[in-house]
Amino acid sequence: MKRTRVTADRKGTALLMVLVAMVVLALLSSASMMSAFQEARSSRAAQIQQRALTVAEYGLNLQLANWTSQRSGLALGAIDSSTVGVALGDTAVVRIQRLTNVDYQVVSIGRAGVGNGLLEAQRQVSLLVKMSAPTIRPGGIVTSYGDVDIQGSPDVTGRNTTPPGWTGCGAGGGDTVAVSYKPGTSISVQKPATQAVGGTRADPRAGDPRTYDTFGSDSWASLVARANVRVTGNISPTPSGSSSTCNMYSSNWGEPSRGGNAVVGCQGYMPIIYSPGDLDLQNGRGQGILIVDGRLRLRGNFQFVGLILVRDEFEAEGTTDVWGAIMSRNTDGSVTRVRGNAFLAYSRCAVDKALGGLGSPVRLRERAWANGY
Amino acid sequence: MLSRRRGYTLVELLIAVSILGIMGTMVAQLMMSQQRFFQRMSEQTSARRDLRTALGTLPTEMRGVSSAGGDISSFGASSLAFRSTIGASFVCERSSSTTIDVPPVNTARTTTSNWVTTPAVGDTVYALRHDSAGVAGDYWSAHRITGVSASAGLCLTSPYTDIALDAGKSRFRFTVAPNLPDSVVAGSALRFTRSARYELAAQSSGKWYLQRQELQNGAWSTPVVLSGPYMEPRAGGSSGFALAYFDSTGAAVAVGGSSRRIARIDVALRTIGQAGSDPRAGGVVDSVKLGVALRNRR
Repeated sequence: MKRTRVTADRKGTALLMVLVAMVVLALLSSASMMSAFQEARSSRAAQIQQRALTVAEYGLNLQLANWTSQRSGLALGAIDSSTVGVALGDTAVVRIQRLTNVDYQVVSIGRAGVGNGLLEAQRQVSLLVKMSAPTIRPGGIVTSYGDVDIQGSPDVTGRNTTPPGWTGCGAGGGDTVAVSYKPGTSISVQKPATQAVGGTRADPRAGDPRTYDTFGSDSWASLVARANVRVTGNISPTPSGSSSTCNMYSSNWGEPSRGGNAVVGCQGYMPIIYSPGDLDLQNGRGQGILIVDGRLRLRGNFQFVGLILVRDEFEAEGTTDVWGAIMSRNTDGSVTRVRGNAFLAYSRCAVDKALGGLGSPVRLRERAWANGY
Repeated sequence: MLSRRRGYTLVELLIAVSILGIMGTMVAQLMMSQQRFFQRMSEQTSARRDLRTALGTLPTEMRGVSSAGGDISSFGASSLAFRSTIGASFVCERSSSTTIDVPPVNTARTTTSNWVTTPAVGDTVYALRHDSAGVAGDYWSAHRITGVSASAGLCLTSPYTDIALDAGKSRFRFTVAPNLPDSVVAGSALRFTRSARYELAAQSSGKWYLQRQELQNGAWSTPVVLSGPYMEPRAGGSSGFALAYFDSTGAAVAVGGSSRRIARIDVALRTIGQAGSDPRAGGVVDSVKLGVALRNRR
C-alpha cells in the first residue's frame, strides 16, 4: 500500500532574512579583515625598506672602519668589492672605487627580507672619502733638536736618493739639506763635502718640539697606537715569508732589499715598529716607520728604508745604511752623532712609502653622502 | 454550516510584527555598526597610507641635503625649500673647460652614475675641486647645466668603465657655465642638484594637502600633490605638516636662523580623514613624527 506523505505548508521569510543579513555581515567582516591585512603588509614593507637602508649604511661604515692598505693601493678606477652579512639573511654589498689619487667612492647596496618575494627591499647609498695620511716633513736626512756631531768617514746626503733597486719612485729632484738642526745648537761636521751633502741648515722647524710629535692628522701617540711591531730587546730584524706571503712576526720589519735573495712577499709590508725603550741594532734589515721611545744606536750592517723617529739620542756608526729620514728630539739633552762608515741618504720615496700605508679614509665635509636610486 | 477559516488572530499578528520589528532593528543596527567599522578602518588605512607616502619621499630627499654647503634656501614651521641632490657621478673625461663627460648609469662593475631623473638644463652640478689640501679644504665648484647630450662614444679609454662590459652603453655629456676650474679633472666627484619645495597647500576642496614643487629653468613647476588631507597649518605647532630644526648638539635652530647649523629636522605629519556616516564620529585623525639626521653636515 502506497504511503502518502503529507507536508504542511511552510510560509515566512525569517530564514531568508537571516541568510541575507549573515551574507552582508560576512562581506563587511571580510573586507575589514582584508583591509587590516593590507595595512599590516604595508607597514611591514615600510619596515623592511627602512631596514634595507640601515643595512646599507651599516655595511658602508663597517668597510670604512676596516679599511685595508690594499684599498689605499688600488689603481685609478679599480674596484674592491666585499659582502657584509648582517642578520636574518640581510646583506650589504660594498664596492670601493678609486676616483683620484686621494678620493674614493664607496657604494653600499643593502638588501633586507631576502627570500621573501613580497617584502624584499633594496636600498643604495654612497659616500665620498679621501685618504688622510700623517704629515711628516723632515728637514733633511737628519733633523735634530740637539747638537750634531759628524766625524769619521760616514756619507750623509740630503740628495733625494732612491733606495737600491726600488722602482716607482718617480723622477729626481726634491733634494734637501743633509742636516736640519735647531737654531742656536752647535753642529760639527768633519768633512762637509761628503758628510753633509746639500749642506746644513739652522731651521726653526727643527727647533719646534711639535715637529717631532705632531704629524698632521696623527701624533706620536697615535702612531704608537697603530704600531704593527713592538720591539722588546735588541734584535736583528729579518724578513720572513716567501715570494707571495709575508709572516707578520715581530722580528720581521719588512723587506727593503730588491736583490736576488729578497723576500718578495714582504716588500710591500711597511710596518710601524715601536720600541718603548732604548734600542741597539747591529744587524738585520727592515723598512717602514721606526719609533724609539728612548735612545737609538745603529751599528754593524743594519739597513733600514723609511722614517726613524727618536725621542732621545740618535747615533749611527759602523756600516749602517739608512734611506729615508731621521728625526731626533734629543729630549735628554743628548747629541746626534754619526760615525764610522755609516751611510745616511735622504729619500722622499722611502718616506712617502712608509707614510702611504698609514692613510685612513676620511669622509668629505660637504656632499659626501648621496642616496642611490 | 459554517466553513472553517484558517488564519491568525489579531493578537498573533501583533506579536509577530513586534518580534519581526525588534529583530529587524537589531539586524539593521548590527549592519550599520559593521558598516561604520569598515568605513572607519578604510579611513584609517587611507590615512596611514598618506603618512607612509610622505615618509617615503621626504626623508629620502632630506638626508642628502648639505646644510653646511648652503643647500637649505628657506625653512619654516610648515614649509621647506632646499637643493635636492637628484644624482651623483664623477668626471670620466673633461673634454673642454665647459664640458664634462660622465660614465653610463648602468656600468657593469659598480654604480658610477646614479640619478633619480636625468639632470636637465637649468639644474646645478657641483664638482669637487682638487686645488685644496686636506679635509678642511674640501671645495665644491657650482655650475649651471646649459646642455645635455648622450653618446656611447664618450669616455672610451676611461679607467672607470670596462671596455668590454660597458661597450655601447650611453654616456652623458654636460655643458656647464661658468667655466670649470682646471682642478676639476677626471675622477672629480659630481653632485647634481635641483631646488625643491615642500609645503601644505589648500586644494579646491578646501582641504590641505602636502605638495612638492621643483625649480625648473628658473620657475617653480606645477605642484605635485603627494598625500593628504592634513590638518591645516596652525601657528601653535599642531599643523598637519610641522617641521622643527636642530643643530648637531640638539639645540633648536629657530626659523630665520642660520640654515647652515641645521643637522636634524623633525617632521610631524597629522592627517585628518573624512567623517563617516556616523554623525557622532569625527574624521579619522592619525599622526607620525620622524627625526631625519642630515648626512651631509659638518
